[in-house]
Amino acid sequence: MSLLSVRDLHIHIGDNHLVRGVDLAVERGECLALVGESGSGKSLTALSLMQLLPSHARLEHGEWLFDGQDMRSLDEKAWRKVRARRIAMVFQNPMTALNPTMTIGQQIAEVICLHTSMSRREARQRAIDLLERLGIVNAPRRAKQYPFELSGGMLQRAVIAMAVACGPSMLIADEPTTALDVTVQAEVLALLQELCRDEGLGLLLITHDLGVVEAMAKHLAVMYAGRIVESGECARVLSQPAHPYTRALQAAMPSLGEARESLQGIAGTPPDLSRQIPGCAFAPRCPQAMNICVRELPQTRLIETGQCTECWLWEKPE
Amino acid sequence: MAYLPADFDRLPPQAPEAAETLAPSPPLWQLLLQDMRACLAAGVVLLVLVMAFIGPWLWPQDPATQWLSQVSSGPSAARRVDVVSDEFWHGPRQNVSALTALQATTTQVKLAWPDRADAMSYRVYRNAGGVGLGMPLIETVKTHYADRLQLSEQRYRYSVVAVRADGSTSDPEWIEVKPELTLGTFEAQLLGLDVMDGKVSLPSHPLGTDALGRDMLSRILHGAQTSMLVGLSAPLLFITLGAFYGALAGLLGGWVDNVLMRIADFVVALPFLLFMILFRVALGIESGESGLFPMVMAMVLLSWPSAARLVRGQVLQLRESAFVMSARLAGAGNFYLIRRHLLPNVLPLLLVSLSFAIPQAIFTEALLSFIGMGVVPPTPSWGTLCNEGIRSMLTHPHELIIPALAISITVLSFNVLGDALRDAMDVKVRRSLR
Amino acid sequence: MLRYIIKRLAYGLLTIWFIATATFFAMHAVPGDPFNSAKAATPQLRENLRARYGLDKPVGEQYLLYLGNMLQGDFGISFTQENRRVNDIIREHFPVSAILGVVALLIASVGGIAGGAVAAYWHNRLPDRLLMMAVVLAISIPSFVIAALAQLLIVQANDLSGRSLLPVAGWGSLSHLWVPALVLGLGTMAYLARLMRSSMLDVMNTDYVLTARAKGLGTWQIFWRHQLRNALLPVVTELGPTIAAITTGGFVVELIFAIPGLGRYFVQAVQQLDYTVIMGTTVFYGAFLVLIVVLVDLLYGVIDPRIRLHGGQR
Ligand SMILES: Nc1ncnc2c1ncn2[C@@H]1O[C@H](COP(=O)(O)OP(=O)(O)OP(=O)(O)O)[C@@H](O)[C@H]1O
Ligand code: SF4
Ligand SMILES: [Mg+2]
Repeated sequence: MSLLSVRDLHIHIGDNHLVRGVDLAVERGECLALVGESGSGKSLTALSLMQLLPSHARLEHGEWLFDGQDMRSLDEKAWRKVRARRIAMVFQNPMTALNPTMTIGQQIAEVICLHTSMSRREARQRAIDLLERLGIVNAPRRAKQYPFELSGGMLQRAVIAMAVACGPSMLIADEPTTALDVTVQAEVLALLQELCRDEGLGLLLITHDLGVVEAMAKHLAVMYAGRIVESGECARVLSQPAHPYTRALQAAMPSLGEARESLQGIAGTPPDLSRQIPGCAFAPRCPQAMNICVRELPQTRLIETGQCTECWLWEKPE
Repeated sequence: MAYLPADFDRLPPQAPEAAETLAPSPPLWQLLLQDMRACLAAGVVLLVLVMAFIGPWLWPQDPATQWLSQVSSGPSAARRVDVVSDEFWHGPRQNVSALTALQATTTQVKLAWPDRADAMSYRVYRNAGGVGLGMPLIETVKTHYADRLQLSEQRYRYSVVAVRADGSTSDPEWIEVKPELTLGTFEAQLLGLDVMDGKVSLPSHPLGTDALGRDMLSRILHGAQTSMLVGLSAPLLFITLGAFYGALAGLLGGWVDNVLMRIADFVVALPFLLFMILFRVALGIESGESGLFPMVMAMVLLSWPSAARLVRGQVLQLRESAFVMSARLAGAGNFYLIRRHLLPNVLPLLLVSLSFAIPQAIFTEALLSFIGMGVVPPTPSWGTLCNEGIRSMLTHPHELIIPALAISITVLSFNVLGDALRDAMDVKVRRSLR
Repeated sequence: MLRYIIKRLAYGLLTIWFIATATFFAMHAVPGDPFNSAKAATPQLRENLRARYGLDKPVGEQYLLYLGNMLQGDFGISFTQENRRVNDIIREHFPVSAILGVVALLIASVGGIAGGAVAAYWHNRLPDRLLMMAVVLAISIPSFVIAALAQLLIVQANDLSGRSLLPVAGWGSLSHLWVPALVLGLGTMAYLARLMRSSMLDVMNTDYVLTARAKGLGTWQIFWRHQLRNALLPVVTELGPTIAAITTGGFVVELIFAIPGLGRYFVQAVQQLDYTVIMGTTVFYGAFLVLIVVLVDLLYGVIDPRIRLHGGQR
């Protein structure tokens, strides 16, 4: 059984129907990558998985199981015991994700104190140990420093230390390397991968970089306008993309090592999410769009190569 | 479900959706019009301004005229009242059988009572409103008395007590009277009123009169003139001055800029109210002056740096921005740059500063006048009105509350307008950033 | 950090010098002679008085003398009460103002910070709307009006209850303190509430608050450990102007409530044109406020590690 499985997730904020029926499954010790254009709803999906959406957001689930438990019935008090202890999060920008007026050590110790019976002192020590384990040199000194005194890479390690401090079984990383220097990106990713492998963590990795996806993820889900348009094993999806949007994405974001001259943006703009979209949301931008596409939503279908996708091309009678 | 093959025909190529053109952000005043609060506040501000400048003309009563017969009275309508002689009264022609009020007017209340055989003298008391004896007025051997002590149109209870030879007193005899408003001949003459058929016309006082019998409405209107004059002229002056100063500093740059801005820093460090008072004293006023000019001067002297800093910041920012560089390369002159690039950026900011500086200045004027360091008393201003009102606050609260309301409503409207203006600018900035 | 402190102090001293100079020349610009005919009946008496107060010397010399005296902390002798030194007046009356001011500041800060936080938490809902309405009202009504209305209210309450619930004016006991302090702090409270609300709204939208939620912290824990301190930073920068507002606001409140503080004394001195007292108190207040601003700056360094450790610019 999957560590986390979500069916038919919907998020509304105001008039906007921002996430429109997402299905996700994250396995233990594996990495699921979530990719998609900016504004497609990736971050909202991630936040909703920890019940961290802003209070005016409305959330609906068909099914929401974590570790066999139905998460829909949890109240806020129960959720506080889930956060950091069972599911933890790593944010995009470590410069802003840490409180500027508390030391790194204090901030890591805080989460340890909250979820374990450790004393403040022990928690401090454990924070230093963690920092050390995550490859920060001179950890005792670093723990006493404030966020503005550390580099981005170090800060992201601190954030990861904070996330894994209470031994969660799942980690959500929302673009964990976007705000970092290219040189440290690889180190941070390697760190995440290592944690995933060694501790059996399920990892939901949100990224824009298909190169990262290729290197890290076992499974891949491609999101467009609040829906997963294609998902499946990473290697399959990337080598034989089944959905026109995945192809367009690949063309727009060449994977690492590939020549960059083929770089092309996807023409057009994402749809207005405050409106009903009767058909395929990608239709106005899709090079292969058909009459039916604008009228009806395509079925999700498992295709021969093993991935799930929703596109009328696969329904087309020969 | 079955689909037709035609369903799977290619969609005719669509014209690529025109990239959504950003609607140009509407002008500031349009944004303001959408804001109900702002409209309301702007309405009040306009009304106050109009009333301040045409009000004294619409309501031409002189704010200095003292209606001695109507001191601290409530609202009253225009009416005709008798003019009565205020000559000394020598007593009634006939004896009366009981305590009687032979005349009850605000000029005089003439009392007469029967003589008592055992009485050595009589004590007369007056109580305004209550039941007991009240205030002793006189001890007299006569059997009549005329009360001429600034009466108003309210119920009074007069009591007369006979004092016997042994010093004991009789039970009081009393009557209640409500004097009718009249003018003494002397007052009528003093005010230069035309007496016709023994009557004069008195104007109405919609807001009543103050402790010196002056018409409140006219004082409020004239006070508005003073307060708005200070409230508008001082901010306009110091913001303009500051803007030029700041622009100069920013344009010249280098050490000149440094020195100029240091001076501004020092002026900012002066505690505002203390130095307002100090400068006001230093600039002094001759007798007969209203004290307006020294106050405006003092305000200008102390308040220019904020606008200077603001404009200088904008100038520096603009000097470095790319589009000014390119305009310079294209051979644009300084004047063109200022007109095309500096003004459109700076003017809205100055407008917001102005909208907050005005209520501040009105406040300062009121406060200084209140402590007697602003406008000099015979000139009405809202601050001096409050100052006068606070003295009779316990008995006649309207004399304080009316000018206080005038200040508060005006300042409130300016503040709300300023907030709305700033919010509208924020919206504009946000829209233009997107 | 030490260099920063020294720099700030030096700049503060320079500002005090500027205030003293401005005060001196402002007072010397006063038209006419401070000794009017009422005080100095004969020309001889007048000359004596001028000599006594050093007014017969050239301005330059007077200025140097004045600065010299001031450096020794000597503000001279009152013009109207010739047996009183200005220093004694300050020593006697300033503590009264200070007590009133400190209590007002406490009421204002606690009320303002709490109000701002509450308004931010219920952003755009009823408590926020009500509080912001109260704030706009409070900053739109002059303090002297509020003071007078408060007095009126006390009188009415005393009348109604038939007992003396609260004294209407005066000084000397705790019951004399609350109403004037509240009135004095009200405007500042409103201002701080507004400031706190907007900075709290900023803080509530930051990533680190989201991080704190993701850690499993509860609302109160997040408020105390993460939001309050950060939201207070912009409020603390305004503490200097706030104290200045309360200090000068004290003039009117002391006047209306008949509190024997330095503010009331200053206003009276101004009304009686008591030059030495005006000069002395102005310089004293000026120096006091400059010092406060420096202290607030240093305090800011204590609560914001970015300043404490790097020193200098924020
Ligand atoms: N608090 C919010 N209130 C209103 N709309 C929001 C809010 N948060 C996000 N949105 C909207 O939801 C949509 C999806 O946002 P989301 O942050 O999930 O995108 P994303 O896929 O993470 O994009 P990116 O790659 O830029 O991070 C966006 O169009 C955004 O405007
Ligand atoms: S359903 Fe139609 S429009 Fe949508 S991706 Fe497939 S082909 Fe393109
Ligand atoms: Mg995102």
